[in-house]
Amino acid sequence: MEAGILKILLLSGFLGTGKTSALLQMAAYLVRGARRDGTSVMIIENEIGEVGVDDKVLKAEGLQVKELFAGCACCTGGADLLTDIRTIQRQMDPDWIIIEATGVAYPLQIKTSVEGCFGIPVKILSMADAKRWKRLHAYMAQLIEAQVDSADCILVSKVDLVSGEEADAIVSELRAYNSRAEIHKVVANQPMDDAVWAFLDR
Amino acid sequence: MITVNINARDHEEAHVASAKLRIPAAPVSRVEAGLIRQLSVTVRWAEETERLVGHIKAYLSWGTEEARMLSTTGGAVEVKGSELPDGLRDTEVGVTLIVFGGELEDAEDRLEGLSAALCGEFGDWCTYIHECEHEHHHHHDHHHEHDHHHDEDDGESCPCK
Repeated sequence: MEAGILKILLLSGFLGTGKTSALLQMAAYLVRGARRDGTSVMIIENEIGEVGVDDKVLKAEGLQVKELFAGCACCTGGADLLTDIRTIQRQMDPDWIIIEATGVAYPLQIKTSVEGCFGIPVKILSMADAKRWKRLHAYMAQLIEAQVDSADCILVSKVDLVSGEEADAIVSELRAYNSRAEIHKVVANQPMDDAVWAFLDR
Repeated sequence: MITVNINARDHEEAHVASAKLRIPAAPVSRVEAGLIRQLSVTVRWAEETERLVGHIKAYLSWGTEEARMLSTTGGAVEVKGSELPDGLRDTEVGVTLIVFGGELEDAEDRLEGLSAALCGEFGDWCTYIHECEHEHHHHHDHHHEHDHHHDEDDGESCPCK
């Protein structure tokens, strides 16, 4: 870990794909995982509802969380997100800021905005729900494709709820939208292999 | 008296309705059981009315950092978080319903129904505070209050409906 250089990760994916569950594991990997190097992590939690739910789970796990209820960070809440990042950078100087986007956010818009403002490369981790992939893709293809086509890493969650063939077909479909991303099949509520998080170190 | 704050907004195609209730001196496990039942009712409502459930999620909290989270995207309700406490606690319940299809008012009504049913389980009256956004009425963020018992219709209706 290079001291003093902020890294930013954007966690994206449709509603209910398991973003918060994955975030808990990722934060554990960064903070108290195999490295145990005192890495500090700050989370910005963007929710579209007026009642925050995910932030309470994250705080209950001892994580530092800043809630962003001003609207979706890819549109109406964009300016507030930049202000929050600037404030966190100045006041807390963490090693990582993880932004959990709303389930209806377009991640590339957030990445472009943050990179343009801070000059820091933003990595994107996207979640795709194996159980609902077909239905969601049929219902809102533009959003679902946009949530994975700019990702550096894609986690296909809930693969335990579909057959192996279905999971493989989803991975193939995702490859067609994004040929450069790492793709891993995961079960969000079970411990993930550290290899899933290797892209964070690259 | 249980106060229920309800907020409803559209976000592009998503109808987003949130409610927050404070239930005094209640067994948290009973509140959770009632909430799970009501979230399941809400899933069935969405399925029967051919709406797409984006996410239905809720929390229960009774202390500074202690909370349990409940969530569903249409199947069973998943629960995670802190251990349930013993005894009676002042419990805060937050629920967010995100659905696609139908009208925003329908999502708001469902959430009010969920809140009323929870109030009913604890034999209490509810005060509803609405913050609604209905573009077809050309007014935003208006605010009103009305009181009614969970199993009575006093004929009073939300002026934004």
